[in-house]
Amino acid sequence: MIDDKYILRLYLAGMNTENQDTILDLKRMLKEKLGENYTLEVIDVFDQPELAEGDRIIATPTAVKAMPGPVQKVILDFNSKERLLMGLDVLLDEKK
Amino acid sequence: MDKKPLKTVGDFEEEVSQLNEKIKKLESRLSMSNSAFLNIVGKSLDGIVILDKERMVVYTNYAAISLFDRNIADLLGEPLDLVLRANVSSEINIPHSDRSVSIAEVSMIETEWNNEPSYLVSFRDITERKKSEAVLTYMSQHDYLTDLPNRVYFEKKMSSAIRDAEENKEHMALLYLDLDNFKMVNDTLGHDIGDLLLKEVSHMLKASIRQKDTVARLGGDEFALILRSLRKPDYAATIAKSILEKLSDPLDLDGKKIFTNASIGIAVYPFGGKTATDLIKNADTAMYKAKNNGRSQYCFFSKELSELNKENLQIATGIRSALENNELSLNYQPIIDLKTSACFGFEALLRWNHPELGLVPPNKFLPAAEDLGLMKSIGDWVVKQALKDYYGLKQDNLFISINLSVDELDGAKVADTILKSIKSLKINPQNIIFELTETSVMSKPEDSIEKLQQLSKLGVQVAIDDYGTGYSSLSYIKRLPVSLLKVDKSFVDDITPDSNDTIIVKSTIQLAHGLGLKVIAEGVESKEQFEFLQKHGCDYIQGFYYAKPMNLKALTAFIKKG
Repeated sequence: MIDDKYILRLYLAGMNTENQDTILDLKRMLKEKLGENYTLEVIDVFDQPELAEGDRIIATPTAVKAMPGPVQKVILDFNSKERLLMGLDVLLDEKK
Repeated sequence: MDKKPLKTVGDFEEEVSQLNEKIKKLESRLSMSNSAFLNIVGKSLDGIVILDKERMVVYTNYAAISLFDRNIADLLGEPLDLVLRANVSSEINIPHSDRSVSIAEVSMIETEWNNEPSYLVSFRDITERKKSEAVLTYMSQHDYLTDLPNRVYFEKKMSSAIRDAEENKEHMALLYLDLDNFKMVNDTLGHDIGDLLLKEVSHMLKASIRQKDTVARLGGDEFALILRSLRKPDYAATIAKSILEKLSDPLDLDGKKIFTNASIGIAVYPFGGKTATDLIKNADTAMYKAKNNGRSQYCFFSKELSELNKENLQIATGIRSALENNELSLNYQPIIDLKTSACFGFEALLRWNHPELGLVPPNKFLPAAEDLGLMKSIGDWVVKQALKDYYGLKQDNLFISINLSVDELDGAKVADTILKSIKSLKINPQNIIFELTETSVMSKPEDSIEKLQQLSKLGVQVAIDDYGTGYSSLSYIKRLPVSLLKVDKSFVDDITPDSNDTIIVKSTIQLAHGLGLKVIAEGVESKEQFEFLQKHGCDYIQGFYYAKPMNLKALTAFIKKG
């Protein structure tokens, strides 16, 4: 069990159906790995560019692990679930 | 068997190229449909959410995200927490973190999403519409000046108060309040002060009632108070008293001290009325009673009041058409010369034969006629009719006495009628006596002197009627062109065998004679009165002792008999 609560931010460009499908996949994976022990916030860079600026996002989709520290970023590949999972693993396993 | 010829490379290339062409077309159509979806659904102002068959959110557009004010990650893959039924729309409240609440109209239809059966839920934000509806409703139910409920809202409140009283077997009271001198304030100090006065009174009324009660402004200077669940109806009187007391203090408006007072009518459910309409009508009736009782009064509605009012209403509505319908008639009461015991003349008395109420005496309908401005045409008719009757009697040695009011002498109409009748019928004006009540003469003494002088120029005689009931000043009586005084019945009534109270009659006779006037005593009903008056030198008497009022036919017979 992971005791610390994960706070994750996902930066996307637009809320089209593909992106929304990916969010659903991502949530399923996070639930599998972390149970309820996470908070995911999705940020549309078209909508809130100032937030993207703050997190220094250079490409989308980017996932940011804000907590537990240190802050980590990984650019995800939405085109395959496998590579999405790999990216997520990088982010979540960093602490171990 | 025929063998198909083998395909050449060229054939395959051809097929591949055709397939590629097809794929391109499909891709382009797909992309077109995607962009159409994003443009139409994604940018829709209505919130649109797709639920899968487990009712989890699988798609949401921008409008839905902003309506729910939540991150898309909190919506996607989660249930909507709404009880929704397909094809049934409903209204929901959506609370936000800043404690504001949005109102949305929600509807759900069955659809397909990614080839799976699913639901399309649409949310229309109707918060603004609801807000303006609420503002409009408030405005339509409240008075703009005082912010009190208006008549519309008041009637609603009345209905609910009556329902409650009925269910809980309680009393409820309706207080009708009318400011007595509001019109004067408005006319003399201006509408700004008038408005301030209404506002001040509204504040005071609001402060006088309990939370569950209602104060409404019904229009102008009329207010209504609904007092709910009263254990004792007396409480309504307590409230009324305290309001009148508060109003007796002058109000400080814009640096001016304004004195105002009010009249309050009270109707208590159930005996003062069982429906809103009845209670309102009855409280209004009681309010007018209170006004008539003098200023700063309150009055409860009672059944007698209602009967009285019904009759008044019948009188007030009927008097307008009484003339046209020939419902007015004249009776005549003989006047006797006490020295000769012979008939001296007769007084014309107005009667109204009401189709339902029967004979109505003048004191009951003349005030209504006065209010309606009918006095001049009624007076005109009386003069014309009386002189016509008098002419028909051919009795040049008798006098005819006709009642007039000073107001009737305003303008030339009545005087003109008198002159025309006298001329055309060749009546000796000396034989005509016009009776004017002391009260009407003394209400505007200077004015009356002038009018009576004009009247006496026609050669007719003038009598002061109901003498002793008004506040006569001797100096005025001396200046009036009057030849007769009629002593009021109330003084004649005091003449009884063992009464010491006869001094007024005695001195009135002396006074009149001293001024060179003749005296007629009215309402003589007994032998004692007759003898007393004869002994003290009264000139004429009129009353049941000698003769009752009678119609023209009976009068003709009476005169013939001698």
